[in-house]
Amino acid sequence: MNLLRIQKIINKKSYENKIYVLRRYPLVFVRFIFFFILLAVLPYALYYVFDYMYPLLFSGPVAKPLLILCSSAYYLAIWVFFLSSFVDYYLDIWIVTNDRIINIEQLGLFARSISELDLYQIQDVTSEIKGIFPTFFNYGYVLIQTAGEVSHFNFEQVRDPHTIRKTILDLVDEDRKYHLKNIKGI
Amino acid sequence: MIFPIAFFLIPYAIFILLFFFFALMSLSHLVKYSATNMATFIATFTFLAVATLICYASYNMIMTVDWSYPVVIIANFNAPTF
Repeated sequence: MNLLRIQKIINKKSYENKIYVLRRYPLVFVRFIFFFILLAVLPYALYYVFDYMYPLLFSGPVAKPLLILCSSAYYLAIWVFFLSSFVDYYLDIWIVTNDRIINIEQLGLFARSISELDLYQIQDVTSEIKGIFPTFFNYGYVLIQTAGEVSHFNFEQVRDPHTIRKTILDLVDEDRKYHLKNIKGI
Repeated sequence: MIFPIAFFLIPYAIFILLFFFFALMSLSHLVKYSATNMATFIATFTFLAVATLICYASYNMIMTVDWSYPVVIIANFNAPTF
């Protein structure tokens, strides 16, 4: 996402600096690609098996047109399913600045939520890497407990979650000091 | 009961409309929320290229079919009963 769009979404404050723009780790989408390839290859395999067992099954004047229509519909369906999976994957974004965290989530094709949280409201940050692939490729979850309206924020399947946790905790400290200084100043 | 095989083209046409609706929704989401970066361009281009290929292949195969061929569901539907 380019900087212009981010500024439109978050209405950047004068003292605010962007620290992270996070998306899910790309490897997460690779499994969708494998699943899609499997869905694309499966009908071919079934066709050859049935054609071998029953050679006249697909050659009839009704069966052949039905097979053409069904296979066309099937391939268009899995292709549009693949695109909507990419949209769902690509449009989940978490933005960390030195003042707040913005959580933008695409929930299917017909829902999108944007929520934000001031850093000084953060109570606890946990990072978690679970499983074989996440351990090898160093991606996982960052779970943020808050005292705000939204009780928790989750960064899902992001790269290097432990470093992100440390950075967020440092930013929280700095933000709290800044807010305390302002209160004392009043 | 006898009807031409072209009858099956009606649900297919409805499906094609649904396909275009979902494709347009997905593409508009990408363009609207993701700006004009390289990933969006590649995703959009790949999707349109493959969708065009599938539609072109389907069209070529559909054109080879005799759609006036009658489908008989119940052979004795019009037969007199005693």
